[in-house]
Amino acid sequence: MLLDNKKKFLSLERVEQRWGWFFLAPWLLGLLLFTAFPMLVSLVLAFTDYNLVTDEPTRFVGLKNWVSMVQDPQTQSAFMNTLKYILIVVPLLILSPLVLALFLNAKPLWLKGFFITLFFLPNLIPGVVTGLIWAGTLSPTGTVNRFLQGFGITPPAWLTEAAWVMPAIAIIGLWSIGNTILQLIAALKNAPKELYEAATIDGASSITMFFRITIPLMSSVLFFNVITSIIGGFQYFVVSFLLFNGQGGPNDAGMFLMLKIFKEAITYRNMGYASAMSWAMLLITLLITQVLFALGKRFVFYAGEERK
Amino acid sequence: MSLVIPKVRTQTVQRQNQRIWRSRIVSILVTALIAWTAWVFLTPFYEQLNASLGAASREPGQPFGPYVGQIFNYQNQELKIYNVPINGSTQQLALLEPGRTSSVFIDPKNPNTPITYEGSYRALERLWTFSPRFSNYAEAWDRLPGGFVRGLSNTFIIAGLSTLGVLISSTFTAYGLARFNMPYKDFLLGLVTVTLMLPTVVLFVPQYILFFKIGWVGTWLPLIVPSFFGSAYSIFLLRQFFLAIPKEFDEAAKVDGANPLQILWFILLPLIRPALIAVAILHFIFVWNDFFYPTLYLAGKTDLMPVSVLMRMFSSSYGSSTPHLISAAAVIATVVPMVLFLIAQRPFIRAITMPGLDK
Repeated sequence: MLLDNKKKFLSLERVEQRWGWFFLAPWLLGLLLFTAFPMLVSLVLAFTDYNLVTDEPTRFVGLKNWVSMVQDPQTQSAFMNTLKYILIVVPLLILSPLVLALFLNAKPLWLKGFFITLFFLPNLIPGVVTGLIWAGTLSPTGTVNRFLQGFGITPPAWLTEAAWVMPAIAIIGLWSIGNTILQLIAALKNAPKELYEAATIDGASSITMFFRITIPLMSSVLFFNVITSIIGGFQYFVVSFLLFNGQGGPNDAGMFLMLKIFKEAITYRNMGYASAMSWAMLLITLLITQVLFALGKRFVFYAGEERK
Repeated sequence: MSLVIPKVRTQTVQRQNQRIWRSRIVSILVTALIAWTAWVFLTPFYEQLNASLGAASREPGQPFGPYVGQIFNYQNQELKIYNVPINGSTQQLALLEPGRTSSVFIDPKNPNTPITYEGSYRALERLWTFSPRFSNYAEAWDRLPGGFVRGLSNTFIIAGLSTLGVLISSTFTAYGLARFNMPYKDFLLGLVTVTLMLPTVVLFVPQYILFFKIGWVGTWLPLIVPSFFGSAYSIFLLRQFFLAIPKEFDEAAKVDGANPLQILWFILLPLIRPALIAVAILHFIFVWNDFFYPTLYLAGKTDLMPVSVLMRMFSSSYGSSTPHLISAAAVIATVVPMVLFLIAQRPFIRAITMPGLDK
């Protein structure tokens, strides 16, 4: 009875809020338990020499982890390779799906759905299998080299020569552009026909229409994929781990930040150092995405939004 | 005057025909170009299939793929068959006595009269037959460390439970974020976007420490339990679908005395079923294909590992001696995600194409 009376006095708004918190509770709890709490702990650990397996007491070491991070040559090459990936591979991962999406959506093309499915298929293959397939394809007797030899070209040693590791990684990366293609085609299909009709009446050339209508309509998808591809660069792991057995390959040319953190944390159990690296990576990603979002506000067009 | 009209008509018909033909030619060219690109694009996959049906190693001159040398059985001997140019014509003969300067062949149709060929048999071309070795699949099935039966069932259990968790928790969270007003709501929505955009794998070091300390490393728990607390991507997708349903549906049920749980279960869930299927399949395939987390948490526990991790163990221990079996295992590991995709292509594609379009 008492409870009933109390309930009556709760305003509708309060009731709604309670239900809202009820539904959000599991997610918020998970965020606290599996994200916020471990992250805070690792922020503290980043300034210690914490090791998961030794019995020695953990000591505060100040900025030592951060200094050795900058000085460690393997971390340096991991950083440079990640940067290279972002500056060289990511643009390819955006431009090639753009070109393909335009072709796959072009009116004259027959069997559109069939071809779109074909280009999407590699996205369904487990990362491990992708790595294995390409280890074979890029091997000295693999398809790529047989193809090049057919043209009388002396093929490079893709996976054993440091200079060719990044091109190999770019080729492998191009194999999973299916997601981006699908998203771009969806954006193209959503394009309102009136815009093109109006532009045609105004005498716009097809090139003008492409840059003034098509590209802006796809800009939100392109932007989304730039962000996710850059984050993908920071998370680059499986393929390199498979190709070079987690060791970074010739001259550390296949060493990436993610791989280096994994090596320090799991192989050497240097949790203090690994925590510092994770935090450094987090800060760099935050910085990059913030800059991109600021730029995005200027260049990215979202449907239903007015342009200033 | 009466003659002019049909003339004009035939001209327009001609012009129309011309236009149709021109557009057909453009179509043929564009389709051929894309078909060729797709062919090149998928060559590694095709080669993988080929390798999975071939032998462990190739003899000199043996074409890539499921080909074996033709053999003629003669007096308990396996003789290789070659294309031999004799008397101006090429005959298919079995090699009886190989020699540098002259070799003795026999005709399989008439094995009793040996034919001598002047010249090195090494310069001759062997005959190959297309003969896929489907037994590779059976062999890979048994030879995968831990076995495919155990591996596949491990993967199914991990991916299935994780998907169940994500479905339940993300539906709740997405419903809460889509339908209820509460303080700090903008902040909460921002949290979803931040967790979506951040490289979540960056969290693995602190999470590993946590799971290590509570004794979960070496079990499936770190792979399954966090899913029951929602995944940002699924929450984001499902919220979009909830927002697309007019609020009048909820209001009507509310007037009839339904509480929010009943509204969710009886009214909204049936309406977003395609979205739920999409989220489920997307997540299932993601976990099925995942390599990083199981490698991290199941190191050394072969009997608990999913197929992806077992594949890597297989390839690093037997990769150089049995590449054909590795390929066969790779094809088997790929079948499940492919089949799932083909069954539910439409909702799947919608789930992929959504985040880029909506802000």
